Amino acid sequence: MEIPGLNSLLEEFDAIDTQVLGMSVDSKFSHKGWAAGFSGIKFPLLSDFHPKGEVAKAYGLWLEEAGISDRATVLIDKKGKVLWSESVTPSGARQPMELLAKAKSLVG
Amino acid sequence: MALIEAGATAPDFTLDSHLDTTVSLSDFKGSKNVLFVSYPLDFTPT
Repeated sequence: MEIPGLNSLLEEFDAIDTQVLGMSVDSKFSHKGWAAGFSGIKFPLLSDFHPKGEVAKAYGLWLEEAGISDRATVLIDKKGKVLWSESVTPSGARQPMELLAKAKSLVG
Repeated sequence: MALIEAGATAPDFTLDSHLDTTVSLSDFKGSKNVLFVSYPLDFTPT
């Protein structure tokens, strides 16, 4: 479970000055309901909802036929430069501990 | 469509969050790195 898994690692991301942001095309009301099922998610789940997929398109992770965003991760430094990006495809899986290790290895 | 790559400038955005906040990437400029985690839909596995 990547979103609750990341939620449980927030202090460690904070220790390396890294803010975690989630994003999908769901509305914030959907996000609220979903997050409540995990007893709350403390980092922002963003709604790329209107216009749908606009931010996903800007990052090259929009899947036009499915009308959803990809399961992808982009690490951005304090200057706004991309340090690393990876898609695991919508059906793929990400390991929160591996994302933390990747961030630790790349942020200055 | 290709995923944005290392070295590119991350496009700024401003989106609403489930915490009833409005979040811009530029909020973190100069202070935080950002792990930006996109996923297909709520209420789906993984």
